[in-house]
Amino acid sequence: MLTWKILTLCCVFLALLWQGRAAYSLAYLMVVLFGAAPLLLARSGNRLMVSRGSRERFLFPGDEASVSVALRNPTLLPFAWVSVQDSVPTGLVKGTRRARPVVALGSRQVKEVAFPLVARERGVYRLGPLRVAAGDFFGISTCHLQVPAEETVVVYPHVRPLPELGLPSRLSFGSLKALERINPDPARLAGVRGYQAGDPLRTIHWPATARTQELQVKQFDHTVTANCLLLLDLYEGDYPPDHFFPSVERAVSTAASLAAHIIQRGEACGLAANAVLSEYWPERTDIVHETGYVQFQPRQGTQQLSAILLALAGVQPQNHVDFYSLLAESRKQLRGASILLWVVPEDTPQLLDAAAGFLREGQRVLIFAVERVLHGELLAAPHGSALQLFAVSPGGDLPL
Amino acid sequence: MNVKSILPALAGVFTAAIVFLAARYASLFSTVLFVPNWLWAFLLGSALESAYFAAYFLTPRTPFTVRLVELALWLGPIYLLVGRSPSAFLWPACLTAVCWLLARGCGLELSRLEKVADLIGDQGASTVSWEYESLTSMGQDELALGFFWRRVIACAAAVVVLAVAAHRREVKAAGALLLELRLAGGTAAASGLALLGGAYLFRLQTLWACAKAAVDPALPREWLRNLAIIVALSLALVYLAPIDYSPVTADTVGRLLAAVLSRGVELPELPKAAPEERPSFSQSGDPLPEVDSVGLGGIILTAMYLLLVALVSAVLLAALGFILFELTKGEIERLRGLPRLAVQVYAAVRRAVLQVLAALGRLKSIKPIKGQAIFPGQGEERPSEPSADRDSPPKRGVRALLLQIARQAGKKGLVFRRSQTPWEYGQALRGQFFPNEEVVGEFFQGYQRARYSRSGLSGAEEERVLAAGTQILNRVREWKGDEKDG
Amino acid sequence: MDNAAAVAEFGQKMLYNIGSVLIGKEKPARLLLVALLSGGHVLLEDVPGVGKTMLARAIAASIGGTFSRIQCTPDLLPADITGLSIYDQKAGDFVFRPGPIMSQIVLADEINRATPRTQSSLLEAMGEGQVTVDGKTYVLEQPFMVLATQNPVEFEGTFPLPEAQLDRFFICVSLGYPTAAEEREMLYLLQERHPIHDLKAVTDPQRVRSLQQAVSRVHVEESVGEYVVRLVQATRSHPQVQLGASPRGSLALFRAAQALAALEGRDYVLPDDVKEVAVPVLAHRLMLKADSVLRGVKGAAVVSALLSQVAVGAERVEDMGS
Repeated sequence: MLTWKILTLCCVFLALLWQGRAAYSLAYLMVVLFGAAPLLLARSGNRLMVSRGSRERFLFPGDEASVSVALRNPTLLPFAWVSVQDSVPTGLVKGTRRARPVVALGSRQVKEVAFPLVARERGVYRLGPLRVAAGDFFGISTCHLQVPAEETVVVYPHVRPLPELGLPSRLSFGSLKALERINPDPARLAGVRGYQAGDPLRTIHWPATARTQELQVKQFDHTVTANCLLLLDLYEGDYPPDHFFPSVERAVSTAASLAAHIIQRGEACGLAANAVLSEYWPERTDIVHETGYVQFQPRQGTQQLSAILLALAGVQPQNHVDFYSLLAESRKQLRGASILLWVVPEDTPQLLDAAAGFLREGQRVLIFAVERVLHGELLAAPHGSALQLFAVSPGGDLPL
Repeated sequence: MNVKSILPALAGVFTAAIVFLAARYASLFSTVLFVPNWLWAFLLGSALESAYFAAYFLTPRTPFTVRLVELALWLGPIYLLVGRSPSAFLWPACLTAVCWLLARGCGLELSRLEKVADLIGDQGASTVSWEYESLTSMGQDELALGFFWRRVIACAAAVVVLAVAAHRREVKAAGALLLELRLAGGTAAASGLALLGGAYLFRLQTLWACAKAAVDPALPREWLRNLAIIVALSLALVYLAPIDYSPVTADTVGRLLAAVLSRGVELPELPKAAPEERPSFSQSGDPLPEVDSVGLGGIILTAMYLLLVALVSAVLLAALGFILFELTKGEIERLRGLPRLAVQVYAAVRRAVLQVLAALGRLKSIKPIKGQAIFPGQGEERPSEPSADRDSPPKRGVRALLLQIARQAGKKGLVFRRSQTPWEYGQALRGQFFPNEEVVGEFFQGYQRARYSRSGLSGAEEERVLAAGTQILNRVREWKGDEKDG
Repeated sequence: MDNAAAVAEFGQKMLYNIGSVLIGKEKPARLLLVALLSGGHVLLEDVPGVGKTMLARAIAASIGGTFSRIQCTPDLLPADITGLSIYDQKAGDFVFRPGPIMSQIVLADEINRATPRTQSSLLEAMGEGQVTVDGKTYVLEQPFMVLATQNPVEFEGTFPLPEAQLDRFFICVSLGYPTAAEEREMLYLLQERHPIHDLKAVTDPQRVRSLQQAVSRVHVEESVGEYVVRLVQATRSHPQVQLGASPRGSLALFRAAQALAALEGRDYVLPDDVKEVAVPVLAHRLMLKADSVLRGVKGAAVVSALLSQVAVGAERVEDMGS
């Protein structure tokens, strides 16, 4: 480039010295091409506006989407070409190459370029920064920009129907007898007792009153609605090293599927996991996550499912908080009766000992072993037992 | 869009225009070098043929005889046209051969550019940084595109030298010749710039294809359109810009040197400038002897000289500063003394230019773009896929009439979609063809009764509905686009 | 006067009467009339305070029927709905005290706050038109219509209706907020005394029963019936739907289209009638997939999309050639 600039200077000097239209014309052309054009391009390049269409995006595994980036040239100088390169993580790249859209951008023109994405695997990803290059029409100069526009892409874990996981299609959790009095359940008649002042009239048990000739009122059991709490074991040491990642992903997918099943039935579901969250995980005020713990209080509704799946998208295994520590931590949070769903790699004897402790407190424990079942006899436990064991089938793993 | 197909044409036009221009200037020096007008066609034809042949068909294995025959096919007719005179044939043949060879070089280079993808290959494309290789201007001289730059600038410089020589020898072109020269010059400049821009696009396209970049299909079209605008603006600038305003010309410098030398050797007197000589600076009288004068004119002249010397010194220093700035990559701390001063002068000039540009930029009020969404909606509703229907089509009556109307309206762009009910279609029809007319309502209500009610239409009712339908059908047939009557 | 004309006249009177109490709710009121004429029940999904109770009361008053309201809470017992037999110590026998379900127009407010068992007792009454208390069956007086409401926003402490029970609701309607002009008109209308107290009956329950029978005789041309079936079947194969509409859904769509046609004064059904009632009749019957729910897809959007895809089957234009 230096040679051409020197040549331009020479042309200018010669034109000034020699005079004549031809000499001046050549000098002018050289000045325009090698003097003014690079300056104008650099100036226009600095004013090029690049913006993303959104800040966050949520996908399910297998989903295809495209990220939009708008290019706006506010100047009068057209760009011969503008190349945009986005920093797309490997887990989202569609095909074998990262897309590099190239467009022409006229004066005061707005154009949109798209980067196709495919959600290959669960995770929280960060797109950006954008690297933009623009050039003139003659290959004399280019300008480069780095735009810090970033976008978070959340790929939820795969949510499967329960039969695909080898689980009963209608896992019913129902309600559970509580140790604490919360609400009298009109569906659970515990017995009758004598009327006391203040008892509502509608609770009078008229047949018993007729029999005894004294007012008798119905006594109900006290229950809470099924507060299900998913406990997900993501302690690295509990998973077999030879197929660590498939097992972890299966555990996460199982937890997500169970959460979806429970919440879609209108019941409350919470989550606790001994995991760390992805560094790109978008901050949410409703999720407690300290070092090694991710916890949600049980709630109902689609928003709760969305929050749980969002957390499960970002959880990663860790090696300093084991599952028993998580159980101890969760026990403090439990209020009244709960159904605990443990998603673990295998049902070790220590795990069953820990489950026995919860059973003594009146909780139901459902263990979902994603890797191996050691106590096969528990698989045959009748429906509604306080302790049940389920073997999660690996057949549903997505070959993404 | 295949850019390569137009590049040999541009190369041919440029080569022919340059050679023609050079020949015309040469003819100003000697009548022996005169070329007839018909040679322009031969120059253009041979250049185009040579460029296209080289770009598309020529390979290293092409026999040499083929190339000779190719050239001979152009020279033969020239020999016949000049009356089989070897002396008259020599100059036109020489020009044609030069033109043919220059165009051949461009064609070969185009062919070579295309093979970059083959040379790099998939593996190369993934390992070599294609942006660095293709998109940055660093090392441009060494890249393939440098060939075209060198070719164009060298040709232009050669013509400029001839033109300047003619200018300095006071050989003036006038009338038709001047027009010819201007046309040829303009053609050469336009085609040369277009060739440079086009070759760059072609090279980028090749590399983009190699790197599998997602190039906007509209890019080549927009590129060429914008390139045409820029070339036109550049040429307009070149033609409209002032010329011959420099106070320092070769003659002035020569005289100054002569004056200095004469003072040193005590020459009695400077040679007088010819009265008709340009530029006008030398025509302002005999200034040099007045230098010693203590009068007002002498002071002014001395000041002008000092100013001139300062200006020339500043220009030279700035030029030197630019070169040093480039060589040191802007690290002026490493420089001392005069080089540092030169770079500082260059930096000052550069700052001044940038400030002027910035001031000009501020003068322009840039309005935001209105009514243009950055992220427009994701398209419109698509017509649904047709699905099977077991109803056989009616041959006559109200239903058949509706089908005829739908067919005619479909030709005019209003398709009866399968997911539309007849009434919805009627409303669409009313909106497009019959605003504020009840005839559509009458027909479609009648149609609904005929199609869906248990009783159907009576004879009189059917006639009335058929009449309304026929009216609609005729209106739709006659409809010619934007017509909308009440 | 033929049957369709009589229904249309009934509809106009009812809408006028309801319109004098509720401003700007003609469309939901029409849909409620469709449900009434089809013998179906209505689920009103809306936030509190938009006029659900007033609509139910206005309908009850307009048909001269009885009206009752049940405020559903978690401690609501089935007997609170059906009624219970109370032992009369003087008479020495059980006396049946009827519950609110024994009215002709019943408003079950916030039905999803009642426990599933209580919901079941209500829905059983809706489905069978009778209740059984202490072994004795009581037939509910016709016309009988339940208008249940639920808040689509709140989830905490609720027992969402299972899909099977949602299917028992003939249509699901949202009233929505009034416009500013409607709200202003409402303020002045209610300035002194609520017009519901002065609302006069425009018909009687016996007449409504006969109109219901008239509606069932509205002609449905074969292609329209097939369109109903195609629509319902399309809901079952839609990629975003886990569980499509049931045959009960197609029957409801068929009947709703008949009622709407009759309200328009026609004795035949048009595909337009089917389209108009498809969303309120089908949308709440669809069970969407978990990912679709998280994407914010609604049943109404799925049905609307199907309406723009499924062939109506009116005519085959391409058969005419070109």
